[in-house]
Amino acid sequence: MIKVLHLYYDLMNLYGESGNILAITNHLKNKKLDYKVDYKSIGDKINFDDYNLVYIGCGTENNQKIALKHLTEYKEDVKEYIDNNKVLIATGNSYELFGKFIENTNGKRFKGLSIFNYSSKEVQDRIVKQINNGIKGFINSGSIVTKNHKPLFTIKDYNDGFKYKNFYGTHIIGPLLVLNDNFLKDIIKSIDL
Amino acid sequence: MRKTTTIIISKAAIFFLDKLGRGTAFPGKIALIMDKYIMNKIKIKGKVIIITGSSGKGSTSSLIAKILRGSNYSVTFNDGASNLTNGILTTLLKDTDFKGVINSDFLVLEIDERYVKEIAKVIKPDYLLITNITRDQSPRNVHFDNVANEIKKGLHVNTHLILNCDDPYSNTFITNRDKVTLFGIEKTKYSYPKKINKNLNMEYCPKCNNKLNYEYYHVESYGKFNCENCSFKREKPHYQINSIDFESREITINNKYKTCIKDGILHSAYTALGAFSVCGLLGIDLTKITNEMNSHCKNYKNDFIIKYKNINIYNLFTKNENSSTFNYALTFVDRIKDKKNVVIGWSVISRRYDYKDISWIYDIDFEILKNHDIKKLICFGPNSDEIEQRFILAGFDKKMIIKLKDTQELLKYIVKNPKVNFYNIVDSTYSNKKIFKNFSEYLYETEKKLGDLDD
Repeated sequence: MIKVLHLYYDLMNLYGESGNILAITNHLKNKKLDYKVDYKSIGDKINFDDYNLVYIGCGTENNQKIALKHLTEYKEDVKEYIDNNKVLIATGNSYELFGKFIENTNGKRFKGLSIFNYSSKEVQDRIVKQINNGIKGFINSGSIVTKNHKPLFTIKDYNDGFKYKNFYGTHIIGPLLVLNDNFLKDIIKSIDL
Repeated sequence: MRKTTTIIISKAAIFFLDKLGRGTAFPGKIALIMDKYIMNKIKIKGKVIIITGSSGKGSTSSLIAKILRGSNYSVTFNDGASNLTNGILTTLLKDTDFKGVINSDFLVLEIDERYVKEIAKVIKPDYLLITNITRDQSPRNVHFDNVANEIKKGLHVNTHLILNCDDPYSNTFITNRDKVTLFGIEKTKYSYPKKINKNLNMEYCPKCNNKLNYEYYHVESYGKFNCENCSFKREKPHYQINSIDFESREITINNKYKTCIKDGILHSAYTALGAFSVCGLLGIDLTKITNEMNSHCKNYKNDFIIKYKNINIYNLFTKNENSSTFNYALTFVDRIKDKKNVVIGWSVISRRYDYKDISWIYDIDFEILKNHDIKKLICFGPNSDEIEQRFILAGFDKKMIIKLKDTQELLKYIVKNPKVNFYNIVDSTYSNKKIFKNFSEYLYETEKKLGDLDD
């Protein structure tokens, strides 16, 4: 059975991110694969060992920091989970959680999980982009990610996201997996059963 | 001298454009070119009431202006005008005398939520009603925290806030303020015991991050909530709806005042209550407010329900890129247990920009329809494919879904298939406006055209 965790489903859910869980479960159903989805958030204890796929969506800057505080308690577990080639998809600003730090517009730094070397900086002028070049989606980001040498997507002259083993991080918001069936298929294939 | 010249020229522009039936923002634009401080130079003698929020601000402000005028007060109101800076300036210039003084008893301004801070810098609001702050036009508004922060920049210490206490998010405005009036809806026969919508703006206490507990929900995060860990809770409203009957479209406010609402959507109950609360706060006699609202009922033609042959057609108007308005409409659909066709569609996602972000359709809980006897799900317009995909992912069989090009095709479909009730959850703006506001006429016209073709 494939066990899916929608992490911070009630906190990091700003732009219809629940659509990604629908896309995943619909795909698994069509493949006649047995699956179960758990929904957990900041009030819950999490055993990452239990899961094959973890998804986190985009949140407000404030909610992102609340999630960060909670996820920091599981830093080692998350690192081990990623190192064990398990699938973690983080869309919108949730992928920033896994970097060194997030700096807000006042210059205050919030320590990230430091699993990866990139860091992010919140900016006044947001980056709003329609993406329709290989990958389809929408970026509505209030931050830029620095020191990122392993982008998930290269869109024209613009690099987005981060890929390491089966960690897929992107600033693309919303139902990315609904819009990009091939990307979803590749992710599901990478689940080690 | 510059002020007087600007006022004269602007008034002339307003006069001529009025004759042509257009140009609500243009005179204000000209005035700003002539004198960029013109707004600062206008003296307002009466009380200033600003109404803002993600949705419902137009209908709420219109009702407030109607009640005040009906109570023999003079009112300057940007009725039907643009709710951005230029449009508001046009409204002011229209009513000012040549010395730049507005003598009206009240200035009622419906203002775009992102422009409150700009206008309030110049025109200090005595009262500010926030209808709601929801997910709305994210390419422009980013998200609700951003909107709230923008509105907060327009608040003065002495501004009296009027807020919806059913919404935990609006309650965050109460902190450290003396002048707050609250309105809310008590538990009614339509309230839900459990959460019915997935993606809410606030599920955790803003003070201590504990999960909020609910006694009941009206829709989304609206309901009676409290934090079991601290003092954060739904505060008792000053003005409350104690009962609603959507069949008769009647609400009872403060256990005594019975009045009508525009249609059967909860949103309209909040509109009526918000207007009632502001006017009550201004000291208008509550019976007088009720009478004014009731006298307005005859203007609500019940045109959201159309009888056609043996079926009802419900036109439930929504606002694109604002999932809340769709979720409100779905609670209406959820109340009626009949066999039905449900229609979703629009002609364009946004008129403001070219972005075609459809993320927000995943914040609409179409899953509610799974508890209903649905004959067909009908999508129309340029995003039919995306809406179809959303229905499929909600668990509906593809065979149930019909895709139509536009409203003309929808009219034809209804004329040819008047077998079960239709629930049209539609954006009524832009090119669809004329059709949905005169739906009966268009139906009979379509019927005639199809009949002529058969002949």
